[in-house]
Amino acid sequence: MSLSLNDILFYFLAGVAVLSALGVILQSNPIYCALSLALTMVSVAGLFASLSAWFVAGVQLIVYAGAVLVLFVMVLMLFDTKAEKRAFSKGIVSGFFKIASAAMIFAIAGGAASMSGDARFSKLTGIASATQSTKDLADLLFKKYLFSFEAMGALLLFIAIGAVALSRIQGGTHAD
Amino acid sequence: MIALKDILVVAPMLVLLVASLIPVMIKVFNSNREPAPFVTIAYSILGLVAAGFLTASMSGVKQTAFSDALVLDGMGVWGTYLVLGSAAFAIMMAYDHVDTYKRLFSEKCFLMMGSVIGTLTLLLSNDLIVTFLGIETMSLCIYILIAMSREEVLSKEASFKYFVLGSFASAIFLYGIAMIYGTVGSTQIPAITAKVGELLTNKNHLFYFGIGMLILGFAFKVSIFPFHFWTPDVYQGSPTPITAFMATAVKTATFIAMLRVFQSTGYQAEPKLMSALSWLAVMTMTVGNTAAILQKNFKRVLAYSSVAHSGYIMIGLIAAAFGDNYDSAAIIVLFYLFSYSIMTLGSFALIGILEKKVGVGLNVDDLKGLAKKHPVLAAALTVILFSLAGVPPTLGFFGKFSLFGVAIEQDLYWLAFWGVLNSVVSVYYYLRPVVVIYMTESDETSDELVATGGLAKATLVFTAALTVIIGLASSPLLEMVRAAVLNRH
Repeated sequence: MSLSLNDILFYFLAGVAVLSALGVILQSNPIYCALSLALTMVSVAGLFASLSAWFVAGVQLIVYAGAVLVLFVMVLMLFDTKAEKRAFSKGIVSGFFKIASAAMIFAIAGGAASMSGDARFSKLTGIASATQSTKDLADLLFKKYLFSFEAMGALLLFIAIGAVALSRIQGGTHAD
Repeated sequence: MIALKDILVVAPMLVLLVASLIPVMIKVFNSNREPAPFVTIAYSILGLVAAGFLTASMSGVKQTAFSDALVLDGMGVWGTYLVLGSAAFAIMMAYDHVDTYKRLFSEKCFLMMGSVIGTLTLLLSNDLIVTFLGIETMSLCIYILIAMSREEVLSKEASFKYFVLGSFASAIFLYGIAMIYGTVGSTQIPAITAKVGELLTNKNHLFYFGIGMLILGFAFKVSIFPFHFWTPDVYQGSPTPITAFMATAVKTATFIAMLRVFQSTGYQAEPKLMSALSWLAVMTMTVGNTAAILQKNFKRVLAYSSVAHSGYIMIGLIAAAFGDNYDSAAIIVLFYLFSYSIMTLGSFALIGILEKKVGVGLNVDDLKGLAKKHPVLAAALTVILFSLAGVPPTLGFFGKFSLFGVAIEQDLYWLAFWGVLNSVVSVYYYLRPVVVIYMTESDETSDELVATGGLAKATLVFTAALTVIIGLASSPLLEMVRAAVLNRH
């Protein structure tokens, strides 16, 4: 069996992704969980890049590994993580949710794996080249969906100003 | 490619955005000192008026913009007028209302205008993605506005309740869009309405789910039974000017967006859909009216009345979607929205005038003695309540008359019957305040009834005058709306 460089890269990145994903759920310190999640995101970004999906890889790095994780870590700073840990490591209800969500994830993953050989999904042909797909996306965003794109910008402005104003109201956001 | 005409179609929104940003920017450059509320309100009203004139300058010709993402037709133009007018009155009411005045007023105006931009997006949308964005812009601004009230317990609860339920409804709406996209292959509303008949005839189940979820999302926003439970709590907890805005502009825009989705004869292929919607309409009217009878708080009475009115409007919507004359029914729905908005603004203006302590609501019984102390306000409220009850010759009567008329025209006798029956029931709770005002002796000269707020008083008197004037001369307005809507083709 001969492995090309691409195959080695794939197995390496996939292995890192799976191992660090396991780390997210097996570590008990939330900060380590967050850092493992960062590693998962980066390796998934690497997988996208190895498929020449440069745009998705970039977005994955900037949005998930960058912004979302920083947000997670900031939120973790605000919580009493010991109390959270106690609350989530015992109890019938939380145990039920853990098992139920794990079952759902396995069902989805198993379903996807078993259907990946299905003929209906193998007719995806004519995938554009990497630069072409990014260009197509930009074309869609800045031509066909220009209005939605700009309206989204206005929406974010309203929310930003609204969030600041909300923090300055009488009684704050935590009224008794 | 983007041409000047695309920019012109969104020019009213751009003007509103700039006008709303000016007071906030003044605040920023003035070391965070609140500009005089009068300056803020002047910029907002100027922006709304300018947006109205810009819209008027483009009316008459149907235009699409941004690769068919937006469409400006007669319905959009008249919906825009209605929303801009409602917003202007709501901002005037906010100027001296106890829950909203002075502190952070420029931000409140900014968010109100942001919500108006959202409603305009919704009104002009020709694409479900734009519809979704419009709903979100409109609602997110309102969630924040409710929480910014000076009242600290009910408003926070209302805001949070509305936010959680609204987000849930939006998620369902978005899921519906995804399913419709999966079956139709496009999110553009004309493309969808063109294929509705075919998909319903073929019993495409994915499309059934999609359209059902879409209707559910809309139904939440306009509080159709069984998605109306948030309405009384949220209306009561919100500052009254915001409630007035929610009950008028938000409802108008959402109903017009629903009309656009229902603009197809293809829906007739599935009679079950029609009977489901008819049941929703009947239940909405009945639940709204019976629950309103049991309320003491005047704002809750009006909240349930607004639920009932959503039911009446549903009758028009059903006549438009399942009848054979979409245009005539759509025109009547628009006309009814006009009459409903004018009356609702007036009645909430009165509540705003009489509320003067933070956190103390206005009960119907508190109105006693109003006739002696403020005869003009009492008379204006009476006119508006008569109109809401549908007594001729007020605007409300002609609204209901033409709405039930169009239902009978499309052979929806059953719905028209329920509508009339409910109108009769509603007379009880609309006339109860009138009885309290004029026929109850006020034993002591209560200090409770202090009327404040010049602009709100002007709103009340003006809307009361409008209900009579347009009522007496309803046909010119109806003709103008008809001409504008028929121009669509």
